[in-house]
Amino acid sequence: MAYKRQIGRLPIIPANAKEHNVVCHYCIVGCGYKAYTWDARYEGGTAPDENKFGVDLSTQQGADTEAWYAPAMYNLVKQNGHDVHVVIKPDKNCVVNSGLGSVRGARMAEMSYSRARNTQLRRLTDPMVWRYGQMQPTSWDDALDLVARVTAAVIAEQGEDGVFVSAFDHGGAGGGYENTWGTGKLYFGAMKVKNIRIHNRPAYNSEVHATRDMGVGELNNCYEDAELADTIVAVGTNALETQTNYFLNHWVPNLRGTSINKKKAEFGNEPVDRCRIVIVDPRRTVTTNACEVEAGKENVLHLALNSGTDLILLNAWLTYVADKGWIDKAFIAASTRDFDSALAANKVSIDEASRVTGIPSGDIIKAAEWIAQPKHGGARRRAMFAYEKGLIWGNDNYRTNGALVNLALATGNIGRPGGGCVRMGGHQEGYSRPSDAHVGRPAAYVDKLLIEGKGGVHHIWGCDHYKTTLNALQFKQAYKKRTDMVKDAMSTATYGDRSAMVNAIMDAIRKGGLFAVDVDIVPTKIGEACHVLLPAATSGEMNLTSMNGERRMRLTERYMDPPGQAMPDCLIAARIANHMERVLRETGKEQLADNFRGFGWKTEEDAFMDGYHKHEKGGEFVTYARLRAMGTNGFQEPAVGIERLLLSKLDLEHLPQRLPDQNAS
Amino acid sequence: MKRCDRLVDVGRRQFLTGVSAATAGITASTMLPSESRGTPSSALVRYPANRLANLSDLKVNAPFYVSYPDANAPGVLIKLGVRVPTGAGPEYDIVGFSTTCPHKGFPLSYRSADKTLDCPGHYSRFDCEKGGQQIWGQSTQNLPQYALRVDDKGDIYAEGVDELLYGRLSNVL
Repeated sequence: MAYKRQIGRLPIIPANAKEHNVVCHYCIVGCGYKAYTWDARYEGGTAPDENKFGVDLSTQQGADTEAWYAPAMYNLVKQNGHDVHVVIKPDKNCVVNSGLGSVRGARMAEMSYSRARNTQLRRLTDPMVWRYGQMQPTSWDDALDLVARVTAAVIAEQGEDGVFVSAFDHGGAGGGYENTWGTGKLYFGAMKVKNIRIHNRPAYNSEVHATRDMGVGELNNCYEDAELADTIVAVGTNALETQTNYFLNHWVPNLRGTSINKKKAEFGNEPVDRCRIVIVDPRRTVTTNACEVEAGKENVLHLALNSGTDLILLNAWLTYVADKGWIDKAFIAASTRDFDSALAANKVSIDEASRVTGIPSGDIIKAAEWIAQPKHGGARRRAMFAYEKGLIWGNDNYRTNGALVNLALATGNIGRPGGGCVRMGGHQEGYSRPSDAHVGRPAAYVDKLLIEGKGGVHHIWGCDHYKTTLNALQFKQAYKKRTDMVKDAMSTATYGDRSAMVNAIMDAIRKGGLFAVDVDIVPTKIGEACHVLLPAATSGEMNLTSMNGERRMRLTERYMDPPGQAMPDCLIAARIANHMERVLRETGKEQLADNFRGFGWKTEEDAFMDGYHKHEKGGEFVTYARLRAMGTNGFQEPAVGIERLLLSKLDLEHLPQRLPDQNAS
Repeated sequence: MKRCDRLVDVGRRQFLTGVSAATAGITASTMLPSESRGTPSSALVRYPANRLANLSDLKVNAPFYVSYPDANAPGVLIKLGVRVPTGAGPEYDIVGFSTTCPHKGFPLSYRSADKTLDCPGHYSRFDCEKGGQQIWGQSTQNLPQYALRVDDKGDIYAEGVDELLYGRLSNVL
């Protein structure tokens, strides 16, 4: 039977509740939310002057109201040590989601750590170490001293190639510009770690090399382009379920035809109509169904190709549109090279594509017409190409990705309104690190090296190989064996005798053992094999910046405390660096120790200013204060300068006598 | 050894040495605190028992539109024709739900083919045979269901709701 909360009412947000900018940390869309917090002892009232909304809450509120929140949007959490109510609800003024909440973001409050309401009690609260045969809580200094001593000893014997690292590289929860910079400065600045891998994959590489190698960054349009396109081509993406509010708030208006006025305003006399959509997916998804409901079946072409045959379909389209002359010759001449040889190399007939993909020839041609046949009067058709795991994780990723970008380039749909050839994305992005050039290409296949017994120490940041690597069963067998060797060795030493402990660990490492350190917010599967667990803070427990699928950068403000002793990842990285420096100096390695200077950060803002602000393109314009002022809409990267904002009447009334210096705002 | 100043330990020590802090406390307190009164309120919402229909009004698998707990809260009664765990009435097959979608407040419509309540706004769907379980959608709660009672005359009463209704922070306004 359905789960019911038996909740018949919720505390009312009082008029004086604190308001914080929040961006949902779950998926790449990055919907805007607001977190409201106030003292646990009281609540607001139903009268307009007693609640945050300024409306009479003793009456039924209408559809799409701002003045309501679900039980999942409510919790009781700690803020600066005090119990506070928190409500995290969608922000109607955010252009990304316009007040829509998904089953992910609309549960952020319920999915927060609360001792009072017993939610997320699995969160890691204290550093833990393997001591006398089990994981036991300890202090940061104790845990990090052990990590630093073992890491330094491994470097002394094996060099930095003996340090293996698995690290997040993205935005949202477990990542963000602060934290990628913290880990990046540690492993690519203080050290030059080569044996490093990312997030969900066994090496340090992009999921979409091909588009980058072609000079087309994978997030090259705006969500608004989905409202302007004549045709959307969706390859291996199920947007309604996985980028829900991007689909609902930006694709649906175009499918319904309600964005036509926006198109007219943008494109003048060019003929415009409601959007048509080509969906390439072996499965019939809810996205396909919703598209048919909104646009009518006649405007939806679902091509249920044989799994893994995208490449030949894409090349057949390229061949066909080039044969028909439906390509943008000026764009090709200005922005590409060797187009003719690309065309010749990838030549595929419609019949051959039909035979391999299992799609009727007529449907392949119809799709090509929807993509590229010029509109009435000869205007170029605006097609937006969106792809995700169905293409990325299919066979022959590199060439398939490249084939889609070829088609987008040939039809002039890169960097144009209503166009784009974009990843739909998983999580937000937030990459800021010193150069990874020393990693090289192809990047080390880290998980294979671990299976083969390479490396002495493994630092893991928000990754779980046990669940996500290739050949996970073999990985787990090898990894458990190697880490068990170290656990057994640790059990032979007295915990308080640090030098004996490090000697025992190093002895096991020399015999093929591996010392593993896991930084995460919850216990993980690979964490079961580790010797040290370090508790991290997540979005909202720290100030955190990220960018979404249209490069929209925003700051999620800290609205609650992290659990127990947990800290932001960037500060954990800094404290590891501090301990490394201390341990290396103790052993007389002054020169090596000097590499670990520059980690004096006290807050995540310090890490942001040291990283993004100093190193990223346009970063000099970006500060926490400016991001706070820009709210949940933020700005689209890269920053190019500061504009004086137009001030509304309300703002003018609240202005001080003299306008503040814009540069100081 | 470092001295322990924690109050819990102070209390323990005083208890063990038999010092009567309570007596000292009473003699020291000569000023009465000024008191204001708190407002009593119950822990749960008090729902009305409202007659929504009679058994004779219902046809199998056809929606009978009602409102509960007041006129501004639209809902539906459905005689499913099959016994369900949350069913009321002699055949245990009558259920009642709010018809305001708990995602964004759009009106749900009954689809008799699979006995679901469906939302035209963002495609959420709720299973009437499974206590309003969300089959697909973006609501973070299942559909609020009525607690029903049927009396000897066949009158059907609603006496409560098991989830928060969309658009109100108290189910009874």
